[in-house]
Amino acid sequence: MLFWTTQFVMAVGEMLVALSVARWFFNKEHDTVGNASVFKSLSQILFYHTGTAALGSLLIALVSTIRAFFVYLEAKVSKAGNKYLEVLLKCIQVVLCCLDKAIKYLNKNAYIQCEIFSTNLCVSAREAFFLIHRNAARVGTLAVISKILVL
Amino acid sequence: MAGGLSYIVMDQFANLDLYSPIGPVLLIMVISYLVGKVFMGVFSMVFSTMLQCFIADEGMFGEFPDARFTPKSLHSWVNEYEKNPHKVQIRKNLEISERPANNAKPTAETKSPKMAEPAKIKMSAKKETPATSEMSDKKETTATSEKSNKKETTATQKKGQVCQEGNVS
Repeated sequence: MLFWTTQFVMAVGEMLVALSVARWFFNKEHDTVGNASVFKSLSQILFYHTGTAALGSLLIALVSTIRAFFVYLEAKVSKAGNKYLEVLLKCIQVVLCCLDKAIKYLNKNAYIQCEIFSTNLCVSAREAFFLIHRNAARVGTLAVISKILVL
Repeated sequence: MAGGLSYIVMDQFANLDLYSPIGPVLLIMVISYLVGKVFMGVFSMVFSTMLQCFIADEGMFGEFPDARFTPKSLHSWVNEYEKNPHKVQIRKNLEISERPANNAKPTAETKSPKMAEPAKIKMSAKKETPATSEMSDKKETTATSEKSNKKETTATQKKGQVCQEGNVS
């Protein structure tokens, strides 16, 4: 429940940024977009997109709950002193960490797609995935360059 | 960086009754890392949203260039660049160096360096003389392109941050 709440708040924040940028982008006169657009998009998100945010954050919350359970299990096992089981649990945690990262990335793009086209989560996740798949070269280049900029 | 700076300040100027300044310095480093991470999170969100908007726009209005939401200079440049990168690269650099930095269209400037290779950014950064000299850390090479990014995104950035904080609290 705690994971779900935090992820939900983060999701709403991400969606807010995405919707504000999308509003600014799909406007012929960029100068006319003022501060009010953020509040407009906030109300729009709270009215129409909370379900999407809730579902997306539920997915992440499930994975992180399982991860927390495995951390607890590992602490128990290391007390008992079973080496093989400990290594196995560590492997499972690595896999779950990868899964967590992948779901977060997909969710982020799904939120953006949802804000642009107002589709629901599953549809927008699929659309966003194929959009990235079609433009893999561009997305990759931009990711590398933005990593360099952010550093 | 913040850690080093705060270490110098604490060591030289502040007469605190501390055994060693390392503890507070570590604290400051952690806090500055967290703040930087939050800030850059918003940045990266804006970047990826704009990229996705651009691609969606291209998908919807690819055949009708007049109806597109991206500025004309940007998408014509991208098209040319994808056809033959090297020719356009040289020509564009000349153009950038010819015109003053203020007159340039903001969105075209924002997107074009991102689409190009890093080498191109360095070249254009050398040729361009920055309008306002506001030094950011070690990013001389990418400074100009980043500045033009910042000018545009700061407005959205601030709003986003304010509202994020509002959500959290």
